[in-house]
Amino acid sequence: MKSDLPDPVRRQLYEDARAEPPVELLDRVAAQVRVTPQRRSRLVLSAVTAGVAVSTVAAGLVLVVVASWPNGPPASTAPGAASAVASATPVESDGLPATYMGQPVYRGDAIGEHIDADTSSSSFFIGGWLRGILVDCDAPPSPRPSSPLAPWCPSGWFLADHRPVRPDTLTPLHLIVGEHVTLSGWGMADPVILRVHAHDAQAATCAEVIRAECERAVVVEAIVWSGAPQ
Amino acid sequence: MIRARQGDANAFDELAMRHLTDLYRMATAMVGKADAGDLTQEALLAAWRDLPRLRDPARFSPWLRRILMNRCRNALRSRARHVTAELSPEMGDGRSEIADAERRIGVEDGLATLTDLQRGVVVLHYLVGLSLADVADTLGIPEGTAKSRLHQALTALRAYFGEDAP
Repeated sequence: MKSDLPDPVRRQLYEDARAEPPVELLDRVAAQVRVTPQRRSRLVLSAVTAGVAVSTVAAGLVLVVVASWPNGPPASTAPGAASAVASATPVESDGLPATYMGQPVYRGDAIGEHIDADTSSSSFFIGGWLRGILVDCDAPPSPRPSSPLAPWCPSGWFLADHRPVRPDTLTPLHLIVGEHVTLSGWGMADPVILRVHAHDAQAATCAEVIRAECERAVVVEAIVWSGAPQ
Repeated sequence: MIRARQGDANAFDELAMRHLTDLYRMATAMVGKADAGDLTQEALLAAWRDLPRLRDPARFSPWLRRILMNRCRNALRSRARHVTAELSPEMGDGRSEIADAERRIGVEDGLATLTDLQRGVVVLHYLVGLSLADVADTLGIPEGTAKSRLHQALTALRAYFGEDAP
């Protein structure tokens, strides 16, 4: 262990470096692996680009809505569209389908894990509940580079990974809607599936201190499904 | 690795066994023993689920470490910033054990002054022994950011523990 750490911390890390995992831990992992399917398929869709609006996230992810609908969402993806619903598997206990168009629908922590595993800008599906929240931010404590992918103040539309009860239960994604995108028509009490991508090409233009945040930004290409009653 | 990617659970057991202890020690340094086992288990299960999507199997180790570190950082963010003594059954009631628990709490309070990213850099650099380039790769940040976060962390820890810079 190097000596430039304060002595108490160095001693603590020295102990941690010798910690032994519980003997049953490997068995627990092995048991879960045998009941957990692997995710195999990859969806490759071209990203839709147009005017971009932005968002931030409490937990480090950024969701950006691409304003791809100059006159509002196309009928095939509007809430309650029968064709979209027919492409989804039956909903799970959390109210969202496990797959959409044969592809997995990521939610919660799985979204970030997928972004870490796949560093391409290929499209994938995420699910959750939309909610509009206005956040009043103080000025940043120090000058901070800004980017559409990494705005300073999170405000606007969020994607919660469960049915929101109060604003402070929101996790983990926040989005700001582009001027041509109208999310207010989507029932906030009902789950939605979004087609998104990460590792957007714009991340390369971000300042170094926020580039990792930009890389993890989740760019929304379309709302493809809603669990609103038919 | 090839067999595990193809869905062979026995092959993944071997991978998990090879990495389990190192992951557990990283998690212990990041979040403490109470949560280290659960987070290690979650990270390995997430790795199993997404293993077919890992583009470069040669990068399995840094990828696995990144999954664990992300989970640990999320846990730190959601955790209340207070620490209580963890009394385990094997811990006696002698003064040395109490003193040890108090020392650990003191250290934890010092580490709690760091951001989750600073703490991650300290753990990966000093406990795992990664170079700053590998730390940056694991955490998905530029190397310069890893270097600056390490400097900030050391400055904060020295200030907390009343030690002068070397």
